[in-house]
Amino acid sequence: VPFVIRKGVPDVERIWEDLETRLKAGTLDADERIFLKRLVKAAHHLSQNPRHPGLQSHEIDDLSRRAKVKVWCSYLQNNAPAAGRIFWCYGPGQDEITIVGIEPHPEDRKSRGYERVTLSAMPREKKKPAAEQPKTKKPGKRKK
Amino acid sequence: MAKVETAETSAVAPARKPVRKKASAGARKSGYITIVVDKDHLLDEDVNYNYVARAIVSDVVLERDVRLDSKKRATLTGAEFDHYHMIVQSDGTIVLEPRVLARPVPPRVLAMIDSSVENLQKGRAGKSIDFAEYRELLDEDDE
Repeated sequence: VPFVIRKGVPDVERIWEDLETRLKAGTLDADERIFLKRLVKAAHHLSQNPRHPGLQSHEIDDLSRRAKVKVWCSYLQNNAPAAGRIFWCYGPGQDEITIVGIEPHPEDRKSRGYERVTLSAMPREKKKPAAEQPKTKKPGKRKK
Repeated sequence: MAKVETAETSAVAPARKPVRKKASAGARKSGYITIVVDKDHLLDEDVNYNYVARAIVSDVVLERDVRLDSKKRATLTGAEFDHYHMIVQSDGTIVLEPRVLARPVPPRVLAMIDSSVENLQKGRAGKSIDFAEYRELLDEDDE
C-alpha cells in the first residue's frame, strides 16, 4: 500500500506551496525547478517505499530524542546529501508520512566550515596495517 | 606511551530521577586518559553519581621527537584526520584528539522540524501531495 505523503505545517507547507505556485506561474528559476523536481521525486519514492535505496533513509537519533518521535532523513539525490535533505515522520494516520523539514539550501562547504566540527564525535578506530617506516633523509647542505 | 580513545561521555540516572550527566571538563582534561562513562550503566543514587570509567588503550603505531620551527609549527607525521581538538595542559603536554566533520541540521531547519512535529503530535498535518499534478516533473529525465 503506498503511503500518503503530507506536508508538515506550517513551514513545509508554506515552502512547498510557494514553489508550486511559482512553478505554475512559470517564475521558478532553473535551480529552484531542479530542487522542486528532486523534492517531488523524493516524495514519490517515499510514498512507494520509504526505504527506497536512492533515498538513503536513516533515522537521526538526536532528532528523535529531541522530538520524542522517530525522525527520519532522506536525501534528495542519490548518494548526495549536499543536494538537500528531507526530514520525515510516520503519521498522523496509518499509512501516512509527514514531511517535517526540508533543507533546501545547504550551507556552502567553505562558509562557516568550522561550525560543522563536532566536538564530541570520535570516529571508530580504524584498523590499519603497520605504519610505514618514515623515510630517512641524508642530511644535506642547507640552501641559503 | 599509550594513546587513549574517547567515546561519548554520558551517564543515565535511575528511572525515577532521569538526569543525564556528563564528565566534567576537568575530568576530561585530567591527563592522558579520558574518562569514558558506560552509557547503559544505571547508577545507584547512593553512589553519588560516581563515574564508571574504562580506558580503551590503542596501540602505538608511531613515536618520534618533534621540533617546532621558527613559527612554532610542527608536522603531524602519520596524521590520519583533517581536524583535531587540541588540549594544552599546565605541564606543557599537548593532546590532539581526532575530530570528524559532521553535517548538523541548521537552526532554521531545526525550528521547522520542531514546529511541524509539535503540530503532528496534535494530529495536524498539511495537505497530502497529489503526484498527478507533477507528472511532467516526474517524467523529466534526471539532469
